[in-house]
Amino acid sequence: MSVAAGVTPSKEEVKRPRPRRPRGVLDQAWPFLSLVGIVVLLTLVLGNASGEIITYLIQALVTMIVTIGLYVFVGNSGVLSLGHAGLMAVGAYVGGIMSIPVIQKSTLLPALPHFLSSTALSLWPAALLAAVVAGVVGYLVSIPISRLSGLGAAVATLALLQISQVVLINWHVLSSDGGATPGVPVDTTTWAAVIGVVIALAIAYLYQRSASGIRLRASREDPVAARSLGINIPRERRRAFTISAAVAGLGGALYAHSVGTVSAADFFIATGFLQLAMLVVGGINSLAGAVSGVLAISLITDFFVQLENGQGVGPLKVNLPNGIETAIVSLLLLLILIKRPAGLTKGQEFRLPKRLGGRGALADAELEASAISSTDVAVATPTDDPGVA
Amino acid sequence: MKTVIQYAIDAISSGGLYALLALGLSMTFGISRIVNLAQSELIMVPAYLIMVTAPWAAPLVILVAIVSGIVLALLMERFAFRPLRGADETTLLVASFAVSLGIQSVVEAAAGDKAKGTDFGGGLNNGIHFLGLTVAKLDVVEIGITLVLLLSLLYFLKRTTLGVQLRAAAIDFDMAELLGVRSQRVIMLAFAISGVAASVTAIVVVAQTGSLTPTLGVQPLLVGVVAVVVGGLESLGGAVVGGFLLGIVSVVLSVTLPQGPLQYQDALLYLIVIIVLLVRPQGLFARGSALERV
Repeated sequence: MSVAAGVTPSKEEVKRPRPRRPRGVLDQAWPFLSLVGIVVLLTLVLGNASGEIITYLIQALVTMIVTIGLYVFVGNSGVLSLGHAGLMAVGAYVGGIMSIPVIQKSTLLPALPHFLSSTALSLWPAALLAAVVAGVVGYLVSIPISRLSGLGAAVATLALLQISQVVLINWHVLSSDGGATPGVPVDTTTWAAVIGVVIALAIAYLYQRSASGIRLRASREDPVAARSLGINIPRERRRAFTISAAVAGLGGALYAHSVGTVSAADFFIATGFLQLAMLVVGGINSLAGAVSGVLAISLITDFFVQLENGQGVGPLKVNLPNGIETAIVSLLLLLILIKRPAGLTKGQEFRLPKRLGGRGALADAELEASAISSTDVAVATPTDDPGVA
Repeated sequence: MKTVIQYAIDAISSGGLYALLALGLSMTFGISRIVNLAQSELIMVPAYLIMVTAPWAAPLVILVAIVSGIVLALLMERFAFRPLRGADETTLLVASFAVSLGIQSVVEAAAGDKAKGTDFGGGLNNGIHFLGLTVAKLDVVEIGITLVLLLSLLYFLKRTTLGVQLRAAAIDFDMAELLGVRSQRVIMLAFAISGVAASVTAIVVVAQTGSLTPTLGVQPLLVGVVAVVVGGLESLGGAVVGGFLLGIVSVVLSVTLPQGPLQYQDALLYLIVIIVLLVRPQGLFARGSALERV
C-alpha cells in the first residue's frame, strides 16, 4: 500500500534508471560494523597502555554511549535537545544507587525506601534497570517536547535540564550531600564500556533503519511534506526520544560505575554542551558523526587535560592553566559551525567500499528517498496529528 | 501593609533587572535570530573588570564596566555571529553556547574557578529609613538605574530615527533593509545595547553579592531567557513586561510557598516556561500566531 498505489505510472517513472541490485547483508550492516570495528580496534590498541590512558578511554566510551543516545533523537528528528544530560543523570542515579552495597546504603542514604536499600544489583542488571527507568522518564518528558521544534524545543529542554538539576540537588532521598552520592562500586571495565557502546550502536542503527526512524528522518528534511504524507511527527518523535533516553540512561549507569560517585553537578550545562558539541563536530545527521565527534573531542580534551595536570604528553612538557581544554573545544565547535556545518563526516555513514562488493558512498538523501517510497507511510491517520509548532 | 510595600520593592527591583536583561536578549534575537546565551559573559567579564578596577573612583569603574560590555558584545558579533549570518536559529544557539563557554573557560584559566571577593558597592547594603520602612540603599540604586536605563531605551526606540530603524529591523529585517536601513549598523547597535544592559546587570550583581566566579552570569541569563520566552521572543515590550512579571512571580512564590517546596521554586519557574512554550509559543503578550505557515 505504497503512496503511489493505483496510479498509472507516469512517463517520468518509466524513464527512471533501472533499479540497482539489492544491497547485500554486509553492505547494509557496514555502517554499524565499521563503527564497532573502530571502537574495538581502538580498545585493542590502547588496552595495554598505562592506567591514565585506560581511564580516558573508559570515559570516552561512556560519553560515546550517551552521545549515541543523544544522536538517536537529535540526529533523526533534527530537533535540538539540551536536556539529555538530565536523562543521563536519571540513569546514573538509578544505576549507581542500585549497586551500592547493602551495608553502606543505610548510612549513605537513610531516606531510601526499604525495598531499595535491602537490595544491591551487579553492573548489568543495574544498567538495564537504569535504561528502563530513563526510558520511562524520557517517554513522559517527550509528551510535551515532541510538540515543539527549533528554538522552542531547545529552550524547553534547557528548562528541563534546570528542573532536573534543582530536583537532584534538593531531593535528599537520592543523595547524601548536596546532590552527591558516593559508594558506587567502580566496575566499568574497558570491555564493559565497549559492550555498552556496541549495544548503543546496534539500537541506534536498527532504529534509524526502521520504518519509524525513516519517517522521522523524512520529517526532519521537510516537516510539511512529511505531514502531508500522513506521518504523525509527534508520535515518531516520542518513540525516538524514549529510545534515546534509554540509551542515555545506560550510558549514565556505566558512567556512575566508572567514577564511583554520582553528583548532580556532573550532569549540568557543561556536560550537555560537551555532548552536543561532539555531535555537531562529528556531524549531527549520522551515527558515524556521533562516534567520530566523541573520538575527536575526547582526544583533544584529554591531550590538554594531560598538559594541565603538568604531566606532559611525550616530549611536550608545558604547564597549562585549567579550563584551556574547554576553550579549545569551544573554538573548534565555532569553526566547525562556520566552515563545515555538516560536521567532520558531512552527515554521511561509512559505506562499504565498491571493491568489497558495496555500492560505495551514496548520498543519505538518495538512500532515504528509495527507502521511504517502499515504507508504509500512509498508515498514520492525519487527523490525530495536531501539528507541530 | 509595610511588608507588602517591602515585597513590592523587591519585586520591582529584581523585575527591573530581569526586564533589562530580557530587553537585551530580545533585541539581538529580533534582529539576528540569536538567543545569545553568551550574554551571560557580557555580565561576567565586566564584573571581573569591576573587581580589578574597584580601587578607582566609582564613576570610572562603572564606565570601564559598560565600555567593556559594549566592546565584548561587538567582538562576539564580528567574530562569531557575523560569519554565521543566515544560519538557522538552533545553529546560532549552539554557536552562542560555544562563545559563552569559551569565554568562561578563558576567564577560568586566567583567574581560577575559586570565588573572588570585592567590596565594590559594599556601602550600598546599608538601609535607609523612609516613612517607617527600611529600604536597602542598593534596592533604591537598582530601581533607579534600571528604570532610568529602561526609560531612556524606550525613548530611544520610540523617538529617534535610529531607534525606529532598530524596531523596524527587529520586526522584519529583510523589509527594513529594502527600505534603506543599514543592516550592519543596526545589528551592531543591537549588540551594543545588549552589552550595556548586561554590564549594568554586572554592576548590580557585584554590589549585591560581592563574590565573583566565572559562572556568575549564567543564572541571571537563564532568568532573562525565561522572561523573554514568557513575554515573547519577538516583542521588545513583551520582554520588559515578562521581566517584571517574573520579578513579581518569584517574590510571590518565595512569600507563599512553605519551606519545603521553596527549594523547588526555580523548578516551578522553568515548568512555567515549558507550559508557555507549549500553549503560547509566541509569548503571553504577542498578538497573532508564531506558527510559520507555508
